[in-house]
This record gives sequence, structure tokens and C-alpha cells, in this order.
Amino acid sequence: MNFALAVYGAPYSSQASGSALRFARAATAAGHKIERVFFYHDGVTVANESIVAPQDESDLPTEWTALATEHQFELAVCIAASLKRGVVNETEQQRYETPSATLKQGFEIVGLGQLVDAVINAHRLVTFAA
Amino acid sequence: MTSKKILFLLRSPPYAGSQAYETLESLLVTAVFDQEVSVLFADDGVYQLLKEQDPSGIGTRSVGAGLKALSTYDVERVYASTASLEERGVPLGDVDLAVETLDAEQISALIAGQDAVISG
Repeated sequence: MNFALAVYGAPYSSQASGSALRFARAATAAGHKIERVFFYHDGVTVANESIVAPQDESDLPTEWTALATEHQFELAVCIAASLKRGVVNETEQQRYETPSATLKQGFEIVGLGQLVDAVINAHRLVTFAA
Repeated sequence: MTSKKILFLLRSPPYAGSQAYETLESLLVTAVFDQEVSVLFADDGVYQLLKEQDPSGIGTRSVGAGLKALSTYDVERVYASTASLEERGVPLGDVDLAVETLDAEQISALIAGQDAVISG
């Protein structure tokens, strides 16, 4: 089965990102494919490279990028949702002249069309609400 | 491109953060991709339907004005939960948008007939 995941909740404020990560880990371990993980709404903040995870809690941003690298799927961050939450890549940092780029390596800033594309190409969309 | 039946299940109130407006944006983008889009307003999402919304005092965009774009994007399957409307005291007289009301059984059938449900 080919899954698209949508993650709406911010890490550490909501269980969405942690649950989605564990789902993705279980799905890939069982031989399923992840088409794309699409972070939307507050979910985009997981891509903020300045996040410092507490020592005794999951480092969600890094665990996401490690799993995505291992299983070759995309961590897509909605551009409209991320700009207003301070998650910018170098292109957007230059365009809007913000103090620094904040996007963690391994995440991609994309348009909403990539959510539609994932839904069209996957067998199932699984949403992790805030 | 493959055309899929995609239901947007709108359950968020219009002005409790960005969720309602952002979900509306994803709905309109999906419609541009020539998918078979339906919309169901349920739970607090029915508050999005109230006419004459004026959020100018809270510095945010009007969800009500955004919803007027649905017909422009050829989104014509627009539904609302009868129970949610009744529970929240939202009469259809306070709704500008043309919506078809559905009971629980009809909502189950609507959801069962979709390829994907995007909630927000």
C-alpha cells in the first residue's frame, strides 16, 4: 500500500507529528510505501531547524529526516503555512529579507499542489489532526 | 491526470486560528487540479457558513468571503450536517451559500463514496 500522510499539529504541542512518525515507521517496516508526508497548518513548525528537543523526549525533526532518508520519501512543508510561522528556506529568506533561513535540511518547502498530488498518487491519505 | 473523489470535511470554526482559512485554500487548489471535490460542513465548521462575517476587527481574512469562491472554482457539491446546524442554532436563513443538508446516514454514505477525505 502507498500512503500519503498529512500532519496538522505542531511537535510537542500536539501528538500529531509523533503519531504520524510512528505510523510512518510501522508502515515502512511492514513493507508499505510512503508517497509523501505533507506538513500543513501548525504541523509545518517541525521543520524549524532551531528546535532543541528535550533530552528525554523524541527529537521529532531529526527522527523525521532520518526515516525519510532511509525510506526515500519527501517531507513537504506547505509554503503558505510555513512563511507565516517563521519557517523559511534560503530562497524565501532572501525574497522577504528575514534575518535567517530556518528550514531544517531534509524538509522541502512546496506549494499546496503537492498535497493534491500526494492524494492522487497514494492509495490512502492518513491525516494526523492537531 | 487521474480524477479522484475528494471530500473536504470542514469542522473548524472560522476564526479560531488559521485552520479554517488554510483548509479552504487547500480545497480551492484541489479544485484547480480537476478533482471531484465535495465539501461537508460539520461540527463547529457550520459556523463558517454564517453570512455577513466581518473579521476586520481581528486582523484576519474573511472565511465567509473566501467561501464565495467555491462556485467560481466549480465546487458545487456543498453539504452541511443537519445535526451540527441544529445543535449550534445556525438556521439556513443565516446562510448565504447554497448548501444541501445531510443527516448522519447520508453523511456516512457520502464519506464511504470518497477516494480521500481531507479534514480541517
